[in-house]
Amino acid sequence: MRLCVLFYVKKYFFTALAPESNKSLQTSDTTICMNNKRKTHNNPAGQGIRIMERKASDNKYLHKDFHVALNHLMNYIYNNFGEDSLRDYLSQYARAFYKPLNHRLKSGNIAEIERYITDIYKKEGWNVKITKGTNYIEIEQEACPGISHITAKGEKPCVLYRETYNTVNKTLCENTPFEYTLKNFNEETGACTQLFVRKEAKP
Amino acid sequence: MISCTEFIPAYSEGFKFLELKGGRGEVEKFWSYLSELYLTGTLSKYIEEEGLAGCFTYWSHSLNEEAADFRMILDETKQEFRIDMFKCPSKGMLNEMKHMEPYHAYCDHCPALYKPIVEKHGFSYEDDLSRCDEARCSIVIRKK
Repeated sequence: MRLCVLFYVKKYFFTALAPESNKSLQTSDTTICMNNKRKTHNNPAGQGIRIMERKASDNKYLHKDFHVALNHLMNYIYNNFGEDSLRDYLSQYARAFYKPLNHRLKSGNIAEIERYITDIYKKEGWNVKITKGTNYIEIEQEACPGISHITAKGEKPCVLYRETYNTVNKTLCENTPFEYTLKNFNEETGACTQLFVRKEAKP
Repeated sequence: MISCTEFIPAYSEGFKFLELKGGRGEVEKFWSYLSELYLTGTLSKYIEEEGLAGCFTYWSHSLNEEAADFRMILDETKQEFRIDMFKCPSKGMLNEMKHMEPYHAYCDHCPALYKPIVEKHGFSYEDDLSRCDEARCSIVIRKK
């Protein structure tokens, strides 16, 4: 907790805290920080003004509910347009979003795949086991961060949720020296084993 | 897996995909579907429980997790809730991705999602999206 300062001005009550979590922000009536980066003002009488100001740099970007929103989007496409359309959508997304990575992979540098995998799980704060060799990278996980959040919110993952792995990573490897295989996938938990392998090294 | 940190480009591509399938009407149909499913247990529930203060509760959570640059004011005497978005994390991310073209009406999803929910609870919803290309906007929700 940072250095704090306490004010009492008219009926408004300002307490100087720099809470470490959003939870504490929501339960704190009023917060104002000396460096003025985080501010929340509130009138505990309930008939006043509450103000919250934030800079982008004040928080870590991690909104897990987006897993739920993506699941709704996938369900919508699946229910209205079918399986092939859902795969087409995921391919379209992967081609657009991963265009720079796909381009870099064409050089055959497997370290790019490792960086991509490490980064994506780091952002999610998720532990996976990564085994690597000169020509392959294998990723084993006991659960999927997306499915875990979706089920924790009382929702069911889309019946083709596995395609966020399979289609996305196969598309990522298009026209590169690499091939992706989703070796197994538990539909309920998202536990799975994924393999990226250099095509020329395949037995 | 698509990380939740990569949802915004996936969302934007989803709008493009749906527009190709069935025009703007299909995109709006999806927004309406999403509004019901995604906001009933959150924004709608908070407004039901807390009135206008429920807006403050809802956006306190989402805008902090999305690392937005904003100011939010709840004036309970005036029965008015206001957000001034100085840098929307979603639109900001799309603007920074030079290799991807965002959906041409990306910012329209916000009123499409939120307006029906707040109106259902007897509030009006006004927005100013005139600077949304710069990832800036504002919304005002008032008691009708």
